[in-house]
Amino acid sequence: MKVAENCELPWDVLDIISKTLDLDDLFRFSGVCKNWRAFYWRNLLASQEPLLLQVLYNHKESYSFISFPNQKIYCLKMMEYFLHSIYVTFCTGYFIMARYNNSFILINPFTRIQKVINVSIFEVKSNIFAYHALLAFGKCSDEFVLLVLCKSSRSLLVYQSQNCG
Amino acid sequence: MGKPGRVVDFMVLHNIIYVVTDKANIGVLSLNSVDIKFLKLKSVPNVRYLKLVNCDEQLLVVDSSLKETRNVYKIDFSTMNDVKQETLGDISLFHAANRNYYALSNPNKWGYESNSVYVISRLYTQCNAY
Repeated sequence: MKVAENCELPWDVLDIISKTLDLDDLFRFSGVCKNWRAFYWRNLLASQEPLLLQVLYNHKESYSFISFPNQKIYCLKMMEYFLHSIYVTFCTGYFIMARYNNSFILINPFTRIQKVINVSIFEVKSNIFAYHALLAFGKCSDEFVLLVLCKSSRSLLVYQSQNCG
Repeated sequence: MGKPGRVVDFMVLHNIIYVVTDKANIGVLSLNSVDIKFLKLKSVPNVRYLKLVNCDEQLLVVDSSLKETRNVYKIDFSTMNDVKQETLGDISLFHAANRNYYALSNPNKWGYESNSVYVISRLYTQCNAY
């Protein structure tokens, strides 16, 4: 193995290492140094490989991304920390979860960015099929719109981040 | 147009949020007034359970039931028609019961078949493709 003069591991070596890691470990991996962070972003995320999301409801919910081309399953242990939250959908790179305290939380599993949206127009329910949701970001912007349709009451929540500080 | 019906699905295309109702009317959600302006399409499919899909910068409308995907229409904005698709071409659709549809273009690149619908069962550990 040839290590570059600046002691950074070449990306083909990082590629071999990364194949053995889960998504949670990969995120920690990206925090080691600039080179590894660049690898995480450019090599893993920028490939835009389609991933299947598997959500299992047994005694507790478990979340995994499945890569068909690489025959790999990335378990998302980070989701275990979101107690009292119910999966609604996955959209634009974010989990949309309904919470018992009348709010929705948006969680990006790749960047770990979280956003909390409090709701006043309907009572947030703990039924996994209670809602239909959509998240959309503005072009080159962090501003976003969250639409949540409550299937039982037909109420439509339209949350615009730019109007809500 | 009579009563447009209740919104059942929404999708973003070209920075515009489109909605579809249970009467198969398709509209644009205006964020300024939180109002829906419905498109004047020359025809609408006579079906109730529709889903919107953004695929390759095109708006697809999927006629589905809990068990199957029946038909796929493409909205042609130049003629304001919905065009029933005889083939999906070089895309595949992914669907889980009672959930959204997702489209993938050039699916062969990632190990999936084109012109196919992948359906994941909610009750069984199986994936059907047709």
